[in-house]
Amino acid sequence: MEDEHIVDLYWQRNENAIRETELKYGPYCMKISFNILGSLQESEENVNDTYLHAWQGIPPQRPKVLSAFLGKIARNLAINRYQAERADKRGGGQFALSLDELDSSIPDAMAMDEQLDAAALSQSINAFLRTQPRQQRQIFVRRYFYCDSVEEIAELFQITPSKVKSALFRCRNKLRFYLEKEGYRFEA
Amino acid sequence: MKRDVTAQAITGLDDEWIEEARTIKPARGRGLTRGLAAAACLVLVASGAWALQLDSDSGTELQLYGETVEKTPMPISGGIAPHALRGIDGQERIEIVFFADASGKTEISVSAGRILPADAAGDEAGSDSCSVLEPTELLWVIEDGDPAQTYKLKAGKRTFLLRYDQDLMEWTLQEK
Repeated sequence: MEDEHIVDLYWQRNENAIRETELKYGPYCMKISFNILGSLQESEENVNDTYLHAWQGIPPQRPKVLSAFLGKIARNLAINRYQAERADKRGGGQFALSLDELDSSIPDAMAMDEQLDAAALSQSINAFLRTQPRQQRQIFVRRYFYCDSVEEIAELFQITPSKVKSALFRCRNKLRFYLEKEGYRFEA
Repeated sequence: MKRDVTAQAITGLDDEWIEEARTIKPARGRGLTRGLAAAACLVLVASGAWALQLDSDSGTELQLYGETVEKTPMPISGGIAPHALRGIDGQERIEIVFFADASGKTEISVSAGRILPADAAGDEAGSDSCSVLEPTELLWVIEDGDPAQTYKLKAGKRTFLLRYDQDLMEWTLQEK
């Protein structure tokens, strides 16, 4: 079913909206959840919560890109769940690794004139990604939004894992350089 | 704090990038069946890369993403329409899907690699030249692209250059 029709079902408060969402985007939401949580059971619960949040969010919202809308909900919920259940632990899983990798490319809050604002940073990263070749942008998003492993990305693009690592390394360095030019300051 | 902000910032990426990365298709093994592929292009097995110019065409344009390739270098994965073409930087297999806007018999040939129908099956061999009779989408494959090299593609009487741009870290195509 076309995304537009699925969104219409939500607006009509037709419960088939959930069924159609599950059919079309269930595995997609599951993958995002699992890459962050690393647990099948937790991921299943997270996907169900994603449907619930979509049901509560549409209406009033009418997402233009339903997949991205659902993906963001799944990711947010999974991160919240991850943080709540692993407050004392660090490491493990692609999500934690992806954040570790980005650490040196993201300015420190203490080094900012104003408190680091996620929305502003997001806007800057979006602008940076617009300047990047398509394949590098896709690799970046697969790694840091979808939290795919380097090996999964290599398979997807039919390139070697070292090539993926190299592309990510270059991209992170360029991101840091871009953010510095935007006025973000990094601690030495 | 910083990790939370980073995670939130990444969640806030544009829908466009999230969707673009979701819909990636594997770089190889794409395409239609061999029969359909064969019907899509008339591939002539030529003896040399720069075969005789058999056509009378004088101005066959090449298009990438629906845009005409001109004398300004155009990144081959420039990102106007997804999947229209694909290039991998460095010593890697390069795949470029281009549209030859032929209006009569036109000879297409390349200095390296091979040309196939755009939707060729994985085992399609291709050739270093082919002839098309009408606007046709083709795939140019170079198995081991060398960034130090410049590759040529001839479409009728026009010549196009494929080069690796060190600044962009990408292969680019332009008319000579």
